[in-house]
Amino acid sequence: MKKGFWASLFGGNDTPSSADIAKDRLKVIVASSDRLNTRLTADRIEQMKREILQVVNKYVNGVQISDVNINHHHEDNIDMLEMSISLPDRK
Amino acid sequence: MAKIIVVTSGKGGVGKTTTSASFGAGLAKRGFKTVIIDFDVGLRNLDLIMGCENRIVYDFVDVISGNAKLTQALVKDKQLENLYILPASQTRDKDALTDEGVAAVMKELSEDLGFDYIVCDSPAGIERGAQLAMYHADEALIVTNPEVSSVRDSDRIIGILQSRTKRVEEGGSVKEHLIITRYNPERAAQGEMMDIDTIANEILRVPLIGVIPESNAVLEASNHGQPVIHYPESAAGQCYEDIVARFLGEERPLRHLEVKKKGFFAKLFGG
Repeated sequence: MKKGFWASLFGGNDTPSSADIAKDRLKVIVASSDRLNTRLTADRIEQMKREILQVVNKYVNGVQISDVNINHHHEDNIDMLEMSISLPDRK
Repeated sequence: MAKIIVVTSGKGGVGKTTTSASFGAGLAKRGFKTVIIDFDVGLRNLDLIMGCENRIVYDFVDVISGNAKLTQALVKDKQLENLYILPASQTRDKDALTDEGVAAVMKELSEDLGFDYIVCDSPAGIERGAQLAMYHADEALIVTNPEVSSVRDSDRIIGILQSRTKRVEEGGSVKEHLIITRYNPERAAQGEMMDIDTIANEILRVPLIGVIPESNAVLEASNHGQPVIHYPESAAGQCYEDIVARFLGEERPLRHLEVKKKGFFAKLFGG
């Protein structure tokens, strides 16, 4: 629907349309929602730990699930997944 | 004791969240302490419709998993004194809700926090999430569009309400109310759309509590993050107001369903 000649001449457009309001609200949400967080939930990280543990234990014996540490953090717009595995003492 | 009402439909996109928001706001406007719970884990939307998306810190799943107290997760409504929402989690899946957890939350809302009404906004479908939302219900608002797939899904949901709910297990029943949304009186009169009587009395046979005509105000309201009941000038807002009144036992005639008369020239030249 194009605005008519008279409407464009006299109709003020000072108030933002509700579509603009909707766009602004969504921008805030979609920009602030941490996409990686939705990809990697706590449950999925736990699952990943267990799978990694299986692989590690094929080559090294005696690694426990508590020895696998995974940290997920955010630096300068880069999402990092940091993993460390402490190996048991050699017997 | 709080009264628990589930808003359900089976089919997605028919207006459950719109209905939950306006119905809950309508109860709160009349002075009842009301909470609306978003059961749609992973796809929360109630917060957007209520306009409180920026105030969420903890959610329903945080409460159930013990990360937060219920009182920490409840978000107070922007404008109504006694309205709260309990947001769904955006990051977890529906398995994060446990039967015991949901039951404990219902009990605390009802007994410790003194809510009069608990409105449960069900996710679409008939899976676990939808079943959890309806399990504790005393009453159900079944939201249907005048369209075949929506009516059939509602019929399915009615079957589940009558078999897999706590009230039925205890030998009682869930009181059902039908809400028809996105209704277009002209199209129904033309025979292009099923009419109210057909849907309510012939097919679903559920007492009708209200009809919401197709209305531009619904989109306008959701753009702003306001329940449409706060738009008293709009047909949809007035019809939701009527639904709340009827729910509370008042007699209200149906409104906004008259067919606009075609003009003389339209009759003459229009097909």
